[in-house]
Amino acid sequence: MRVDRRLLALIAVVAVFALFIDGFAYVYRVATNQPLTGSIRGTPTLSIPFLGFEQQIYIHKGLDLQGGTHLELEITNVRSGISSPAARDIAVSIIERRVNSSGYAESVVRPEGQNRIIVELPGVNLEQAKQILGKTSYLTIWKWVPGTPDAAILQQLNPTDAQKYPGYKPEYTGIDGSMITNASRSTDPNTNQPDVAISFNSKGSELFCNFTRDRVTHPQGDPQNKLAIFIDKDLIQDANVIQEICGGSGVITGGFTPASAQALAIQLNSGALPGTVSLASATEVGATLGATTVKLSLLAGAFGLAIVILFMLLYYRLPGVVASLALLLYAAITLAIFKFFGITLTLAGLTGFILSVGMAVDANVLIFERVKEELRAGRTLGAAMEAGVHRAWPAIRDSNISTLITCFVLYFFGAPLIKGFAVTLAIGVSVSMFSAVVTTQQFLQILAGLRPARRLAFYGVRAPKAA
Amino acid sequence: MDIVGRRNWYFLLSLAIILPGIISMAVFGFRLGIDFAGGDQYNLAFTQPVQASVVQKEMDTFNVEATVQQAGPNGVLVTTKPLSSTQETTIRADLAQKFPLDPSRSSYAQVGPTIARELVVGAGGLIAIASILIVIYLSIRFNYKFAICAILALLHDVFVLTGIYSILGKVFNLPLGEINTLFVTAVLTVIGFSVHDTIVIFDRIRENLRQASRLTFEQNVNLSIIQSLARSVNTSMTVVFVLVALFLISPQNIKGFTLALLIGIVSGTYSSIFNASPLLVVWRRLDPR
Repeated sequence: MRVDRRLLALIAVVAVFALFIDGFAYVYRVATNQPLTGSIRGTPTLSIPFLGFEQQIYIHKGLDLQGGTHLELEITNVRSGISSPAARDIAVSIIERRVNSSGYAESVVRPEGQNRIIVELPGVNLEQAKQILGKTSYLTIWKWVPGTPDAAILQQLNPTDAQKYPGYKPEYTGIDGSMITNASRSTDPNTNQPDVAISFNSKGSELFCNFTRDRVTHPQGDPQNKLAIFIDKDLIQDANVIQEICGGSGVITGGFTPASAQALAIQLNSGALPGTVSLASATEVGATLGATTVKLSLLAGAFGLAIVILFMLLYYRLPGVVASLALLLYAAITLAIFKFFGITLTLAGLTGFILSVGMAVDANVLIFERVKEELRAGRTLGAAMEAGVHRAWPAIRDSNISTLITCFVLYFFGAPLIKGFAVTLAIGVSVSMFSAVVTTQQFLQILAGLRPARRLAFYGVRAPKAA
Repeated sequence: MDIVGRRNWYFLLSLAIILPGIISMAVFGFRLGIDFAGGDQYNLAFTQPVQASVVQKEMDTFNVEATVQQAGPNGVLVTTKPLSSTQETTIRADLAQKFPLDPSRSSYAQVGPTIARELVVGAGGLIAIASILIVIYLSIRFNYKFAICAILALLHDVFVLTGIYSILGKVFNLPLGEINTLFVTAVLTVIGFSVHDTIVIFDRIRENLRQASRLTFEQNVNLSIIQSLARSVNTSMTVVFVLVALFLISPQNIKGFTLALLIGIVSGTYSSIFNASPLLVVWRRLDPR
């Protein structure tokens, strides 16, 4: 195997992109005319308008590492027929869903006392937290029928919204938020425009099917073709019905931005709360592990990396340099993936990442031990390196695939904490396979081609005795 | 060096650690942390800015496993294990004396567990599912005997770790042996490491078996262990070195976590070399096919 220019180009492209993402905060500062140091205004966001692409790029840290907002919610006016603790538990599960669909997967929602709920949201300030939780939404779906709204409707809904179309009045379809089992932001595959996918339970599905089948008979533009979504008193969406939606799931389209689609999905998910939920108190809190712990852990991480690099340099000499370079590139790529996909890092997630670093080092160690063996057996440098990578591969492949299997199981069946661990470990292991087999191997081949790098002493091997 | 020949001694050593652990788990169970058992929470407001780290130092003197979070410049949130009413009164009085406490805006509440006990039961189930899938994969790549030996080594490591923690927490009553969210993470990490480490040695055995040689199966396994020893020791030593350093400098609340990782990694390395591979030999003797 010679140095492969296409693979080298691939490594270069990946490296440049990873460094771009890792350093994106600085790119953002320059683009928005901010000084390069000090606290940053706004959230670094990469947007490519003509692709409909918009992504916030920063490391999402969990409550344990960064802190966030600690809120106490109180449930009052519990609907009749439900006990307070039961209402509290329903509210906990609804709020949990709402919080998770906003992307705060590592948050804490737990009951307290008879009618209180504690919510802790990582990396969120008071203002954002109120946006996520502040609304006590009760969602209903309405249709427009000819007529004028009577006093009862004007009482129940915001009068401006209820009188949006002169000559038409809203009529309740019987569908409310409790019938929505899930809503999420998605993208229309044809137009690349953001939209909102929703699914209903069986009752909601049947009602929604009948409702859309009836509405679609009216021409587009006619208010009678429209689907009106009210949250509490306010009309939040007035969408056209393009086709009947049966079978339990559908898509709401119509002039969304990624952010507004996300917001609607959250509101749909909030379902029907069993009472009025109000904010009793809200405080911004520091990291649950304590700031000292976080600082020490980071210090320990840096110290660990230094030891690993030192060990590889001393024990494997020149290949150690290669491995260290590959390892740094590996760390840069993995961090870029965490940033780009907004993966929340907690101590558990960080541990998964560190374990994957260990496995990446191990892959290099496996390769170098094999290279040493081949050199001792008297092979030339190039041949030894090729054989080394080749012979180490089955062990790297099988051990990493087993790890990926574990991650897969943990991710699909595990609690959020376990998921966080599984995600970072899986990403780390996948990148480490790329790093060991593509990066290390190509770097070694370059090394083998360099005349000054051919002394065996550089590899920690004595020249074999002439047989 | 004859590792396979002395295998019974190594099996015995493993049993000597695992059996007391299993007995302790069955009889005493675990010492549960605040995550699992719930605890008490103070929301303290002060009339002047107070640093969380100062309150943390004060709370540490009470030995109630307190974590103190900053809550705005003039407040902290203190979480502790469940307190008796006398403890609570003592701590409140002490804090009121040492800090400019604003009693009207401070509050005290009992909090429920943040994670359910089902998490642990669930984690056990997950390990089982993952083990089955790994057995299937390794059966394809190696054969079913290798696969099952790898999983036995994995279970060995899980039992060593959980057993030692049951003993530390319940028999010696040390806060270090507490089971919390981080411990669950440590167990998961050890599972990942254990299988990884075992497979590397198995790969060597597989390779040596393919080459025609006059060695017996037993000699072959022993040779493979010796050949991969440099790598096993190098990898583990690097990790152990980092973890020991981490254990020494880490603050009280994550010491238990780093210790769990340390025990798990040592056990994982041990079981790959001294249990998993010799088990292959035992099985081969019982069933020479």
